[in-house]
Amino acid sequence: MSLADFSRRRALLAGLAACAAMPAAWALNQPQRTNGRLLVVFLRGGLDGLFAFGPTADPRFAEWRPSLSRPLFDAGKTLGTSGFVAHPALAPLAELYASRELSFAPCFGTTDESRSHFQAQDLFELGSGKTQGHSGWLARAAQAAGGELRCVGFGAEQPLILQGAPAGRVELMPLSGSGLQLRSDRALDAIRAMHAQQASGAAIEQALATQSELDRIGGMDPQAARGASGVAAFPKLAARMAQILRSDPRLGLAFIDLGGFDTHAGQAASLGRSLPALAGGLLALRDGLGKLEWRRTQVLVCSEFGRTVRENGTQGSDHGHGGLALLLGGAPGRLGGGRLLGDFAGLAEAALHQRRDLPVRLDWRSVLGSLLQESQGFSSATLAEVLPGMPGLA
Amino acid sequence: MANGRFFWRAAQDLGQAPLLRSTPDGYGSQEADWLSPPALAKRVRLAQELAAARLPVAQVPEAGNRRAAACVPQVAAVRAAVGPLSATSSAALAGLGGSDEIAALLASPEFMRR
Repeated sequence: MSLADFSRRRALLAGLAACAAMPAAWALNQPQRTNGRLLVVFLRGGLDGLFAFGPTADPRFAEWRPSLSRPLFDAGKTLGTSGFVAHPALAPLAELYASRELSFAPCFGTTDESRSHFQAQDLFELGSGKTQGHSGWLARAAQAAGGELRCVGFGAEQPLILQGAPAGRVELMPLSGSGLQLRSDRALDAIRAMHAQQASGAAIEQALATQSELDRIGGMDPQAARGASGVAAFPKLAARMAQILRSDPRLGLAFIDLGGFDTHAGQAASLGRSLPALAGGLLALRDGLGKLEWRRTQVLVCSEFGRTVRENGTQGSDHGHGGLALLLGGAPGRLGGGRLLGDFAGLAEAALHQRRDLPVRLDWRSVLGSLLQESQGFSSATLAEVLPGMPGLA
Repeated sequence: MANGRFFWRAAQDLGQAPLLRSTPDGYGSQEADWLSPPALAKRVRLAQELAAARLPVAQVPEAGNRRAAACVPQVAAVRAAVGPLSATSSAALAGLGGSDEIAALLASPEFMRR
């Protein structure tokens, strides 16, 4: 036995011993995955990250937010040694943090400084560093991935993030409503024939194929909310989403957006209803996917921007800059689990963006690029096409 | 209008409820803004239901008549509203009649792009 063999045997034994004590730790050292899944849960309106995960260890937190910080001081759930606590309504997420299935970035965001929902959402979804464009980064990722990978948007309308891909590369699967239940009759045959040679024909055929697939899986829930996904319906939608994702491992890229996070007034009551639904949905997703599928899935939860550090005069908060992002999954991957991602410089006024907002310390394209690299095996050259201007690329 | 609420809800279901656009640019009229599988499916479904008179649409009552009669679409009126058809559409409609023809006309590419 050579010295090298002996060293490898000792390393293996040490690794196995470590695995026995810390079951999740070995995943951190796994080679790069290329059979992963990325799901983006986009919270439209600008989630107040400091209300969800608050830095109670910072003495200025209570000073800047005398009423909004109270729930976190009273009943918040500690997030390890990060100095942050989770709002009591997000207690389940604190448990995921403890089990290293969740990390968070308190100062995540884009380069947009307009504080406009319209512009900030476009910037996030385009992923090019510009606010004008015709293709979203997830559509470009779907095109780059190619092969049998399926990219799905769980909604009735095609958001910008999914626009621009060649026909058939991105699918839309509404999780609610009854609009897809077309009657099979002579009229439908004629309609299909009339649209056959046009883009609309491909869309109708895809709608019919989706309806068949949903019927095969379990059928539509007619009681679910119509139209766009409201966060209140998220637990039910997430369970359905998990069912669909689990049914086909080729569904490697997915997107859903939820509304209701623009909380200028009465924020405690509003988010007091929204946050439990958000946590419930994320848990429903995890439980519905099952251990095996959860291990190959990474979920990014984020918003177009965060909100002002100081609460306003109506017990709410206004449009800000840096905000909260959550990263969940069964295998922590390169970004790690149970960690604070990026850094947090505290709430001293001098450390704030324009002396009012959290700064952006973790660029959105850096995170997206890392997630795409892990889940889809994208090279740097591919990432440069999918996320032009991504920091860190040569 | 006796049928105002119905059309409001239909427009809402199609994703373009009047005055409810959340951003100042208004609803897009380009294909990329509205053409998607679920959107097409909803339009086709609405056409099918309208043609079969399965939706609560009522005529505007005539003067002196407080009850509005049920609205049953007429083929001639729908054809006039749709306008000229391509050879493909005309061929697809051949042999259809009644509510099938009306549904197909209302869901035709020519009518969707008017």
